Amino acid sequence: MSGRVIVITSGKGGVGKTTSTANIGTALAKNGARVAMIDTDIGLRNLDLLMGLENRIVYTLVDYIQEKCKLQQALVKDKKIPTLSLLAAAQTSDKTAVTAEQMKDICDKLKEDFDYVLVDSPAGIEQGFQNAIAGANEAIIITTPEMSAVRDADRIIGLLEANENIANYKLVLNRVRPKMIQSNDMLSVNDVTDILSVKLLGVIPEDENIIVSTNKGEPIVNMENARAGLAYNNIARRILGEEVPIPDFETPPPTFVDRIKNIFLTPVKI
Amino acid sequence: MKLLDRKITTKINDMISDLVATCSRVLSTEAKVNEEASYDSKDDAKNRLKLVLMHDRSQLTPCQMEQMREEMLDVISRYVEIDRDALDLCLEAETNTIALVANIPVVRAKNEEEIQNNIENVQEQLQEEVQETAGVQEDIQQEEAQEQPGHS
Ligand SMILES: Nc1ncnc2c1ncn2[C@@H]1O[C@H](COP(=O)(O)OP(=O)(O)OP(=O)(O)O)[C@@H](O)[C@H]1O
Ligand SMILES: [Mg+2]
Repeated sequence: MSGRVIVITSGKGGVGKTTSTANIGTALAKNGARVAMIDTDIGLRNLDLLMGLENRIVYTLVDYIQEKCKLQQALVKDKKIPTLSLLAAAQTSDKTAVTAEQMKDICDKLKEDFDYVLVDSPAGIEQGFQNAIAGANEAIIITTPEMSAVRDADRIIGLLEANENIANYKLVLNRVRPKMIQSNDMLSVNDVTDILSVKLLGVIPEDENIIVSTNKGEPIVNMENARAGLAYNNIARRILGEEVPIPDFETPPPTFVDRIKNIFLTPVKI
Repeated sequence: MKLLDRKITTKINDMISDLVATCSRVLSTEAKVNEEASYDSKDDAKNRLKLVLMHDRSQLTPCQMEQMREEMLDVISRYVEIDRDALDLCLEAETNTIALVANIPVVRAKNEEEIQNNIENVQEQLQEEVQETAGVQEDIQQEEAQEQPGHS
């Protein structure tokens, strides 16, 4: 059985595509899947940094395309998880070094050996995006609850809809701040899924630990008890087919007084 | 003694009115601040987004909106006299639907004869246009072909 090729894309830059690729990839592998991650952001590669693999890269995607190495040689194994690999983007070449056909070819080859091929897409809707989706059958759209990011996500959804190779796509809402949603100063999870009329794969809270994890080159799913890490792990489990409910970020947690009230209001069974 | 009393009362009165003035000034600004804080900025975001996405998705350019406006004006003015500059055409988001809203101030209704004349004129014009259309369509196709590479 061949693997699933999932592109992670957003339209707007800086909303968390690379962070999501690193963490979903790591979480899937930790759950026992064989995973390859491809960084297609040629000239602006980052996925290697987030994975802490920057010193191990010898060959890149572009080297493979220019036949300087075999695909196996360009795949860098993760430090801890042997079933997790990274195909890095070239930092020096420019975007024209890769065509959509070549990308599709690479995805087709990788899905023979891996259960999941995650493709980290560059921002925008130009050639880099077209290359990233070329070999994909599924898509994860990342957005934040900000107007400009949501608008760009809508544009991406339109393009994915028109692409017959993409069988399904789902949304990940990143950098959610429950307190701001509760005070009605941030679009809520429901607002965003309503506006975009798209299925939700998961919600990632704003989490300072992500900066710490990036500093260390250690995906946040490897940190214990980090909220964003738990959320990414839940997303991986949903991709694997498990039913994991999405926690409610809209209603404020019960206050002390509420809890006391509840004690008195709960009917007592005799 | 009485004089002093009078003086004190006026002073006290002045002071009270001063105080009231100050208080109401402070209170009114405070009320304003509260009003702003309690206004839900996300509702604003949601409404603006719905509208902008409507435009994005409908793929109507501002130029096409303008053309639609002109065409509607032509049709309507066959039947009633309207203030052409005052026609306001826009997309509006309601709770669940998006509506095309036109506000058309009517100056005067036209009579039967005028309407009939207008319609006949239009029919003649249409016949002429049909002959021209073929040419125009070719132009459009050529333009689109030229635009394509820039879009992708
Ligand atoms: N949930 C979060 N909480 C806090 N910070 C976050 C979160 N998600 C992402 N960030 C931060 O946002 C920044 C951008 O993230 P990232 O590089 O993953 O985005 P991107 O979409 O890949 O960007 P680009 O479009 O440039 O490729 C990073 O500094 C990252 O640490
Ligand atoms: Mg990135």
